[in-house]
Amino acid sequence: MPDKTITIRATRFDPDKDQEPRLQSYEVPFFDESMVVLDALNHIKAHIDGSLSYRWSCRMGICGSCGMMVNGTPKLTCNAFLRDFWPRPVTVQPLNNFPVIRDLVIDMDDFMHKLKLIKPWIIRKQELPLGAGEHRQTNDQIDDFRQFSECINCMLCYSACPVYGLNNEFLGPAAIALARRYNLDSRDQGLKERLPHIADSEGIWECSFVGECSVVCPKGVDPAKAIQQTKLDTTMRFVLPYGNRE
Amino acid sequence: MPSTWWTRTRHYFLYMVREFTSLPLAIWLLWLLFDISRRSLVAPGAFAVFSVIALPFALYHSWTFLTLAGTIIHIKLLDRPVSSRLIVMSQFGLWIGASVLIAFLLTWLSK
Repeated sequence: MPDKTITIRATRFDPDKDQEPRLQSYEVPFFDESMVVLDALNHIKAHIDGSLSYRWSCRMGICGSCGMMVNGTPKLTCNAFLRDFWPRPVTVQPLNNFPVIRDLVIDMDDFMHKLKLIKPWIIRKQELPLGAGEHRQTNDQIDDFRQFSECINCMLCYSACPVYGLNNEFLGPAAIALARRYNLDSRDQGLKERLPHIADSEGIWECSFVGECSVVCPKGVDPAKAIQQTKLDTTMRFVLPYGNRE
Repeated sequence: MPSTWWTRTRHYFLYMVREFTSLPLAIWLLWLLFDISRRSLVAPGAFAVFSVIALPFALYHSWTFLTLAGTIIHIKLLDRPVSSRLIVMSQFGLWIGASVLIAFLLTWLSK
């Protein structure tokens, strides 16, 4: 084992045995400056304790599977470098605001349910036949929604959102940002189908603009902006009867 | 969620400060409305002192509100999106303009 090591304190919780989650410390060799927290977890799993459970997949900030609390902040563990923490220990816990299934694995059913509600796909009133050609867009039309389309559903924003933590009926940052992504898309005609969920009291109006969702987003999406802009648009739809209703 | 969640990060704390600053402002307005309804100042000295206390809260709350307007408002002029910086500057400009106008009217009416 190399001289340089780092202490990883990971949450352990087995619902069949444990009453409460507990932290367990592991000494992990820190042999490469490019090592990330996920590498350390993989080392623990492969060489120290094979029973440690966590989600991961792509290791390059695309799949959104490896979100966890790293020293109290929601982060993608594949994008949290050990060099930023060493020589201090790194505490890895499951994402806040979600039920824990086991160790670092959270139950994401609530998020998946909310994601489905806002129908994050292009809705057309009438599908055109393939022979009619593409739905063309200008660069400006793409720029309208581009940043909201970067969301990878990692749920870090839900973990950072105290409103969701206090009331898990709240539709939440990522779902609303994705709804806005499709509502701003010039090819989409599904606003009326999404509106009942977005404009609901547990939708945009539950948000009090803490803004932490946008701070923790690893892809530079600004869900807080999406929510506030949707509030304004929804209000304008209400007060301007001949305004932008479609 | 523990009741101390807002002490977890600096951002949460600043959010709570932002929300809290509306409280002295609301109390000041209620006091003013009460005095207006009675057509007299109940405790002019105390109201003056409280006004001085409430002023920094009101200024901070207004500053945060107007700064956030750049995030919220999205408008296009001649098919080009107006930058959030320009929106924020125009909000502050309107705020200062309105304050100067009200100060002028109050000074003029008190003569």
